[in-house]
Amino acid sequence: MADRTILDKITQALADYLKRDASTIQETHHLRDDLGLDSMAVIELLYKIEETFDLQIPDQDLPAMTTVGSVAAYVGKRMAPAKSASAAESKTATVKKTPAANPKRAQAKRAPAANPQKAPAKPKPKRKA
Amino acid sequence: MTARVVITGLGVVSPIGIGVSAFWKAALSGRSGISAIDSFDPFPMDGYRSKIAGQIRDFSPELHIGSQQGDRVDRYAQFALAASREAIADASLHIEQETPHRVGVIVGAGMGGMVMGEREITQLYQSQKPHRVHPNFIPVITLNSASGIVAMASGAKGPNLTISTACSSSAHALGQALQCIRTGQADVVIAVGADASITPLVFAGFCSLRALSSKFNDQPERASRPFDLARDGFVMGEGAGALIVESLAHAKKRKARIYAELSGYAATSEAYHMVIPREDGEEVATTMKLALKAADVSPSEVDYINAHATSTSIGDAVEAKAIRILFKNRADKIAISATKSLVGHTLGAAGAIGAIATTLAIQSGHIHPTANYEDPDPDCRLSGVSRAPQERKIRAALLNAFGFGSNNAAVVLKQFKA
Repeated sequence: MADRTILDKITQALADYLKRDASTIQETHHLRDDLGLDSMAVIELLYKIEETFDLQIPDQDLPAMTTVGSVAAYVGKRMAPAKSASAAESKTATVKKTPAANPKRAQAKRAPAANPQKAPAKPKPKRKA
Repeated sequence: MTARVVITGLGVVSPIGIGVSAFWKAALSGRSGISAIDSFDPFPMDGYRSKIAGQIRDFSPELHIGSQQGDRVDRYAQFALAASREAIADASLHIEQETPHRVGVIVGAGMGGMVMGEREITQLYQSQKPHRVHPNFIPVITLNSASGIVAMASGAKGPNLTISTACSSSAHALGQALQCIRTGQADVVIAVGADASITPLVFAGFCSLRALSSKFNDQPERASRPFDLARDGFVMGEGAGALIVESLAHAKKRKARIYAELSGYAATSEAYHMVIPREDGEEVATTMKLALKAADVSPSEVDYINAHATSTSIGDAVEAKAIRILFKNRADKIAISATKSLVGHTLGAAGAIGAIATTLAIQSGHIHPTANYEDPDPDCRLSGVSRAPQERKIRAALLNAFGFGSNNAAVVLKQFKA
């Protein structure tokens, strides 16, 4: 039922996380009961999903995400109202605008706290040199 | 025969009051110290799922530290200093009259100097000028900065330690103070808990863990609601608590006023999960049982539990389960209160602030309310939890503190009998 591309991406994210073949992960699989994810693992997975689809999932939407399919359906619904809605989401999430709010993980090539490589033109030290 | 150890002084800096008198008055009235965070300048609060915390708004560092020390003492250490000063004065402890190497300091801190820490990290990555990192960065960020500062301010030259086990840090500080005195290393220990990390990155980190309440952003005072059905995560807080822990012999010699007896302590690990407690409650029950055994107190003598009770869905249920496992049909007869319902979760300070509430409860017979306990969750229903203050003659009390890293502590305090 869920959009195939979205489902594939989510399945692949799970496969990467669990280090198993994506073909072994079904839409009906329960994250906890079938795939063995504990609540922390679900949070980590959703963090990756947020990054993949450039959206922010509020706390209150978490309890509904119990199966692979329900995650895909949720993401599909969020993506569906197209550009205007997702642009609004991005703005609220301030993911793009505020570098320090988008630190990513330590192994990324970019520096964690800000984007020094991306913004060499504006090194504005807070103190005088 | 193990040496008896007592509590002779208290000091606190909290979101519901600075100073024990203000704190206790507010606590007994069930006042919440949770408020909206104005901003994390320059970040708007839009980017944060939770927008509230137990903040201390009226703290004046100049009252507690010398003017030239400003850059050397981060916020958490300022709190530690203020609380320990109050406790020392409350105990009428004159360290200059003591053998200084017999007076120790043990601080429990979870996050430490994060205010300056985050500022310097951000500054470095934005400016790419390593030589502009402040020379005080290391002295401030080192996790033992507060214990050093308290020693320097008080002249206490005895064992000087910092314990960092997240949310159980200062419960362990109290427990280790007890051990320190019993092993003869010190006569007095200033046991402190302090944290002040309502900072952009740390706060974001807790938001990302989905650990914080986000449903009550428009009603901050209702957000911290341990054991209540509508709870949806903890509320961060900041503050410090200090207790003067002293051998009974030493306290008697200087005719100190005694609040309560510190009689036992257990430190365990669940060896289970960094952030999730064992759901069946068995580990927490074991920790409490071991503390009571160490204190030579029977479960039947426990009249009050100052619960860890952070207002998370899982944590509160686990603790309630553990209380039922250990106390069985007495579980509903024990008075329970959750200090975090008033001040939020002050991380490294939580154990000490909870211990102060416990000590005052023992001394006064009054137990502070658990705020927002409106609709008890059937999964963690305990009759002893109440939205109203309670009166109870307390023979023995348990203080619980469970930290990230699968770390548990339980401390036993008793009514002092000469």
